[in-house]
Amino acid sequence: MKKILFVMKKGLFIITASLLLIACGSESETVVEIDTDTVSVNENLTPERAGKAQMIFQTIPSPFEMASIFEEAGASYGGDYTNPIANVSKYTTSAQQAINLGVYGTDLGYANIYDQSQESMFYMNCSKILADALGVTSAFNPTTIKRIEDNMNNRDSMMLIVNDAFWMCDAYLKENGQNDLSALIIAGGWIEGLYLGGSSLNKETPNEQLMIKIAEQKHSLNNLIDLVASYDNEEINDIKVHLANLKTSFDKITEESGETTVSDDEVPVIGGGSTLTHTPAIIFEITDLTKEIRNEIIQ
Amino acid sequence: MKLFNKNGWIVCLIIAISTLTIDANAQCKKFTKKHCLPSLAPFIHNGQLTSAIFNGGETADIEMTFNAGKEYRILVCGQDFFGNVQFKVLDNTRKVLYSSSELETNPSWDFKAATTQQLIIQVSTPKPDKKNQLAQLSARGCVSILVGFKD
Repeated sequence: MKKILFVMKKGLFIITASLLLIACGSESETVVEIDTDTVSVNENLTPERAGKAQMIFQTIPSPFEMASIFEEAGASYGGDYTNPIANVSKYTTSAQQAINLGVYGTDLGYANIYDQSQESMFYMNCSKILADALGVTSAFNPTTIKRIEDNMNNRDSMMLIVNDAFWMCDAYLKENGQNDLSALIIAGGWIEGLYLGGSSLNKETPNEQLMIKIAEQKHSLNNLIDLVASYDNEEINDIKVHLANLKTSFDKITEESGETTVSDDEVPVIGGGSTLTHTPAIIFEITDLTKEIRNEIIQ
Repeated sequence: MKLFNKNGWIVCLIIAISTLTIDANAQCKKFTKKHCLPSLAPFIHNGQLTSAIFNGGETADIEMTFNAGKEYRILVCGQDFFGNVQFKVLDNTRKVLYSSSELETNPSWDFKAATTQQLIIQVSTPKPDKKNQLAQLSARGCVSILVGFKD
């Protein structure tokens, strides 16, 4: 009888293993380069949403894209706006390290967009320290750092290399069941980007284009709120409160629906859509609140 | 005769599910890096590579802000055994702005944003052949949705 049981168990094992192999598909090459992804699936679907899709993903523009948008709108560079590099040693908890990895990642993108090579290196080092502290030693490994140094004056290459490094962090955290830390990195990066964009806003003679770009962050804020809503712990709940407060201010920006159009050009142009209406007072309220939140998270 | 006691079955199930999930995620990353990312060039990825394990006949929405003045490429790629994954681009009223062809493998679409707006990328995998049990079992794999931008 024992022998029969053994054979049956062995058979069950073989069947299970076969099913696993079938389910895993045919991809079997070994990839030694960085493999990263950022899965931000909001599983808290409302019935309305669930009827339309089984999964909802939330994404927000990268810190590089955000810095580029504000630069094009006329935001000026301020070396004293970014998080002081000396702060890096203050961050001792995983949550602090994650959120400030996002902050320094944005500072790195910001310095790079404005061709500040020296500062870019400083912020890369801060990012490396925090990524290492989170256990992601491969994100800013010697090869990546050499690539960054070699491409310091090539804005596009820098964007790719740094984004790859941040993907690496994200993948590592998710593989280890730390999706909440991944969300904190994204939140920290977005808050810092909004802070930097608002920092160069002169309240006496506010730049209209810059105010428009700040107002348009209303969309990304909603995506970010949905992203962090999936997680529940003390640190992320703090961020949720900050984002909810920001939303209260952003909600004062009115949105009017309009028809979206697509042109027939070789590269189609999407135009129209909703229109946002802001006042300088609302924008100042947002930038002041963002500064408050940002100064709290970098402490 | 009992093959396993209750706890034995639970442990076996947990191990099987864990192994499947971990391996599937690892496979998805490898697939994306090797087969999808190169097709995004010369656009710069947005730092958030969205990929997940899909079943056949499943849909997903990806909500994202596209900024005025930027040019974007949306690229969706799925593992071969799915058949061709398709995507649509919708505005916030769910009006369809673009729909990829079902004949296109790993479809992509380049466009410029004249105004900043929130768009939805709706991805769907082909429904599995119900007559073929093996196809149903294996119609589960990685789908990556990549968005790249350039100035």
